Amino acid sequence: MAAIYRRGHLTVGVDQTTPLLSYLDPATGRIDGFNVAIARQVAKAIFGTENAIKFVAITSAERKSVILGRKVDLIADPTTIVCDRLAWADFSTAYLVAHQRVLVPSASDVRGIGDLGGQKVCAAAGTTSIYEIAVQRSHPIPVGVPNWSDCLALLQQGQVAAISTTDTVLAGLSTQDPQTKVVGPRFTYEPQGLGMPKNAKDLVRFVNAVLEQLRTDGEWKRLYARYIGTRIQPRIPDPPLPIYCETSCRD
Amino acid sequence: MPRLSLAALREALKPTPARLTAGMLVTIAASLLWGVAATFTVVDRLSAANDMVATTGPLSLYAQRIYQSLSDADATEAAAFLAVTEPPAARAEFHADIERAGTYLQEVTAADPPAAARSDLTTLQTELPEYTLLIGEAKADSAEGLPVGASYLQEASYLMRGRILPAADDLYRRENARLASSYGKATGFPVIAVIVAALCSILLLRVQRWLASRTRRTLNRGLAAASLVGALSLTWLLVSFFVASTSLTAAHDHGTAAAQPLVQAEITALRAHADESLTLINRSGDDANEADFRLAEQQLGPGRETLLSKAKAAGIGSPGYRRATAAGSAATAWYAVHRAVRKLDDRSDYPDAVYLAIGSGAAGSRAVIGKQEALLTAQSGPGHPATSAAAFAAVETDLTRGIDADYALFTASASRGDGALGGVAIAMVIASLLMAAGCAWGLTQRIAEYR
Repeated sequence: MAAIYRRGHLTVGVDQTTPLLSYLDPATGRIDGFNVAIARQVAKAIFGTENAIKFVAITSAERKSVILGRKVDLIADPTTIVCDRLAWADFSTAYLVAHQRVLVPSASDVRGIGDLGGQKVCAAAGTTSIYEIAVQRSHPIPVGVPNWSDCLALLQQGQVAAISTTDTVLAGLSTQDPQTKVVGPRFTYEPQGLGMPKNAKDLVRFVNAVLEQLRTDGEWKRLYARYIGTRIQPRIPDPPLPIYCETSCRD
Repeated sequence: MPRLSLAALREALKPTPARLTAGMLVTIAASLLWGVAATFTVVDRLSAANDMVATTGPLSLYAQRIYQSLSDADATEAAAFLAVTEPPAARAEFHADIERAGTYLQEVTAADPPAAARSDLTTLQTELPEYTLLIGEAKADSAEGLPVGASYLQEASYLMRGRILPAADDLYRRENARLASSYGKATGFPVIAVIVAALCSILLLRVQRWLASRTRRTLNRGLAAASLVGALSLTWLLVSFFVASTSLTAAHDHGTAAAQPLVQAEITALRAHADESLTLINRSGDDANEADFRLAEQQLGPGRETLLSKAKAAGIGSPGYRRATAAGSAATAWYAVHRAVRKLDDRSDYPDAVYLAIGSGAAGSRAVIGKQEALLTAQSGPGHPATSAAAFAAVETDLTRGIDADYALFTASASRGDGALGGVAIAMVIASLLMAAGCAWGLTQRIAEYR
């Protein structure tokens, strides 16, 4: 914490290809989104201004290496808190809960992950999503790519039949292409947190306090309404309840 | 029916007139054989020299232009993408690159390429439209503010670097090999012609000595004239070959061979330039693209055993030499700006890094840029290039001008060499006919004395 304060800015690893959550706006060259806004709130709590922040764009597969290499103070890439990852990172309490579903072209008659047996389904490499695709009983063929937008490019070119990941990421991808739709049941439960290097307990505690503040003062709901709105569910949801114990991950 | 045997032949040639007739026929045959051998040798060389001037030389240049245009398109597009709104100049350059590559591709295809080069051409013809399609999609998406545009650009770049450029590289190598083979044919020592000339002169001399021993006249004018014409025609052939070889060797050594490392250097510089943009587009710090930049820097030099030092070594006495030397110092200045860009990016001063790289886009802070510029001035003196793109452009200009100058020398020298062989073939035909006539005249007079 002290090192961050002395440096004068927070360094945050983010995805730059998922609209709504964290994306590079080609028109302004700025990185923005719900996850980014949460990270900016942490910077604001430390430095008094949310602009005391620098971003390092990472792919999902690079999350582990930037944390272990201490290239960033925290990652705000959509990251599900799972036990595996506790080996190399500590997580804040969940700031968003998402569920894995399926994105297909509007013309497709696929109605969920169960209809995708033997077909190619895209997800970013190094994510829980690609693991989930691989273990489905319908046996889809997982296709791993560096960035989420790479999946959309493959879907648009007809090289994969579907994209499957959390509804939050899918909603962001579908804003880029009206010729797509999100279908099927939610088949996972994914609490997402900010990841930090191990042995930075003071930072974890500080971030948790910031998140608690956002939950209670209504800022969380305002940010959710601003960036995600009603694209996933008809009502703005309540913030996820914090669970502080070490077992707040899922297998 | 006389028996055909050596003994029978000896018997038949015992009377002197029969011997004289045989001698005449043999010397006429030798004259004509020299004519045929000399003419064929000259025609063969002339066609190889013509190939250098009209076919393999230009094709090597076209293949180089294809390779260069496509590399430039890739680098231009990556830099334009980084600039958020594509500068009109970049758009024009990209289209000019693709068009130029297409035009030269048609030229090479129309020139009836060998089977081995055809698969490269097929790859280029099928993948190039696919590439422009992906670039079009990338631009359309980015214009609408959709991040998926970056994915299309990445895919386009993979296609360019993974399939299109290797095919263009292979094509260039093949065309260069064809040029080297016509160069070899056009400048080798005329072994067969010289052997035939030696045999013919031995024969002519022996017939003359025999004749001198049989008659009181020591000189047979006809045969002597034939020998003289023969010697003159051989001299003409060797001198014209020597003159042609000198020009063709200059065309090769100071033209295409000197240009080759410059071409490799330019392609490598373009690759590194694209790498810099792609690293910034990916925004993930020192990634695989930056590693490739460092590799390209090592290959390019200037240092020992690098492309630029090879270009200098191969370019001694070539017009491109001065350019290769200038490119060396320009490259060093470019690397310094690139380091500054990477330093800014590694400190996460992203907008400043982009600004220092391409000189457009919104710089985060003029103060940071000013500090970096002051640092660069301290390192490489005043008048250093203000952006990495400008520093790269200086390197590229030097290399392009060097390549163009070398190819211009090639064309001029090869044409001169080709010209030196003009008229030699017809001279050989006339010479051999004169020789045959001389032999016939000289010996008919002796035969007539026996009637």
